[in-house]
Amino acid sequence: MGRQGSATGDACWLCWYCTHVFVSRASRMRHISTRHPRRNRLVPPVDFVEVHHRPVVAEHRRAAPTALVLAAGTPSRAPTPHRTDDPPLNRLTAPGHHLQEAGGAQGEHPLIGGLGVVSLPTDASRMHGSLAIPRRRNVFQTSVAARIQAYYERCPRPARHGDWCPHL
Amino acid sequence: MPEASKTRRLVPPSVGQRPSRFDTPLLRQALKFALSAGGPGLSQADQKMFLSVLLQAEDGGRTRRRGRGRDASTTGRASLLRSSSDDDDGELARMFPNKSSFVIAVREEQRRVLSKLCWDETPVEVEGTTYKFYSRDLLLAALDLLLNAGHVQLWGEKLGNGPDGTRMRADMMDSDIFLSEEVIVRLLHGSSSFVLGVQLFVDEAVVSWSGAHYMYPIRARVVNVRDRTIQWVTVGYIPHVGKPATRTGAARRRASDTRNAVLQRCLAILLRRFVPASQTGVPVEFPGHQKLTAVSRIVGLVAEQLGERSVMCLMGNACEFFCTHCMVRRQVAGGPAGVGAAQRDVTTLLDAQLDGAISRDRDARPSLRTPLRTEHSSLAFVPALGAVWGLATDDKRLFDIVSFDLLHVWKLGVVRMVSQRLPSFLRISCAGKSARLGPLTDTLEVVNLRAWEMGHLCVPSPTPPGYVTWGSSVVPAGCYRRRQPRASC
Repeated sequence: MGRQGSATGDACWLCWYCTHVFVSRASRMRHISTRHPRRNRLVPPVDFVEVHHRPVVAEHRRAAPTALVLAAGTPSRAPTPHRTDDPPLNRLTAPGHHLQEAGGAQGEHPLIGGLGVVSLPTDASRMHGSLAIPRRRNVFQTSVAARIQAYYERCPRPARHGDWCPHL
Repeated sequence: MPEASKTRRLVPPSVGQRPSRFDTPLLRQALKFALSAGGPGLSQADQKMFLSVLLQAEDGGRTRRRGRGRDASTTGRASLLRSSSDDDDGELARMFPNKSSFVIAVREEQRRVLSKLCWDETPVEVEGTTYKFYSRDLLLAALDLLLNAGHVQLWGEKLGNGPDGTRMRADMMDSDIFLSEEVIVRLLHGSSSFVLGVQLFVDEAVVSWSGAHYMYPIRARVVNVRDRTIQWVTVGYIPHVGKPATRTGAARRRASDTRNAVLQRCLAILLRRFVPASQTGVPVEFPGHQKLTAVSRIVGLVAEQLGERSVMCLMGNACEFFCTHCMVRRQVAGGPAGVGAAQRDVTTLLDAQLDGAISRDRDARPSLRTPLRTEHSSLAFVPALGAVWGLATDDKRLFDIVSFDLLHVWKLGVVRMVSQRLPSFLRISCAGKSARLGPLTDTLEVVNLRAWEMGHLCVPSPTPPGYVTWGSSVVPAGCYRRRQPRASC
């Protein structure tokens, strides 16, 4: 997995869940994964705005109708952007956009984040050369016993390893 | 299975068809003593000495009888002389004319029994080294026990409530795990099927400390057999994998991988007929009854905690998720936050282990196993037990079958953990005086006497069990978590 980000100019990156500030996204991700292991690391909170975007958001908020700003007001640590009238700012908090920003590798492996258990294809781990990741498959449970039996029946011939029984 | 094609009978079948030379009660007792005295039995030199003692005793008794006969009657002299010429040699002397013949006969009897019990020898090649695995087929051994038992119970029965209103439990046959498996088996295979329940005992005790036979026995018991004496039968000897010669990380990793691979491959060989029988069942015919279908199930795994973790292909104690049953983290284990930890998901774990094992076969770099270690505290191996139906299928009882080894956990582990706290306790409580059993060192020796008598390396868990305040009483957290499945036993 590649690096998830690097320092870009004077931008500083605020933790989504506390007041720590970091010089890169990667260090922020490390911080969140260690200090807030049970929180979502893929998608920031809905009311979160990056520190270096806050002046733009504030300016935009001043320009927006007061009623709409009040309607969008929720307890937050930062001013909330207007969602319907400001597509560019909303993209900062959109999950898809953020995944792309966080680095290509993370975009390819969405399970490293805190979304809980996410289903992946059975042989996805083999495609990427990594080990298995937690996933729940509650259908065709008997296939596990059959696969274990097949594994030991063909063991130890690693050169002939393959898909011994169809993946479900 | 590649190893299966290399399996050979340890002794040819023709040897087992010969009649035994130890066919009288006296000879059988002599054989039993020669093979079991002091635990491992007599050495060949001692067997010769034993026979000479027996022959002298036999000769002395015959001489005394002859003398009494001569004094008692002179009228029957002719008949006495005739009978004494027939009885000139005793039973032992007739059977074993010299000392070496007894040693040879004992060895032949051993070979005959090994052949009759169908002991196999399988070479297992791991990391370039060939290990010999001696085993019986578990299914054949279980069926043999079942068919030769005096009292057999085929179907389980739930006992009623006791005087205090709680459910009474007496044996594995009325346990929850057996009864639930029985419901599933009869649903799948019909009403004429029954659960052939087998318990496994994986011990660390070695066969011989001499180094010639350094291996670990696997024992099995059929729970359907209800004879008075519980019969544990040895069904295999797992070869020992020594410590690495060099103290490098790679050597340690290689030795660890070899140890885990040998264990699982041995279990796979042991279960090679048991696994299909757990899926399809095998026909069994009892005298005077209709033909029934025996569906094999593993309903118990008796092992100490390290053995249990090895069989389940989980890391030892020094890991994040050190409980086999649940995913409690080390930091919160033993505290209130650890009580509600989620149970381990059998399918998820086995899937991950299977993928990890396949990846390890392709590339043995430890770095590739990091996710498996961090997510599950698991090794990149697959537990061969998972192939048995009922453990990873249906009710998924893989972790429920784990049972305490009372000898290790209670006698050795607890005593050792307590004895480590004794010095500081005695220093305070004795206030400078000696304890009742003597000075401090003598007291500790007495405490450790049990372990010393066992002559066995004591390997309790280095992790303290932790305690959970449960109402007004203090309950060991490990006991609380682990007694849930065991309450059915």
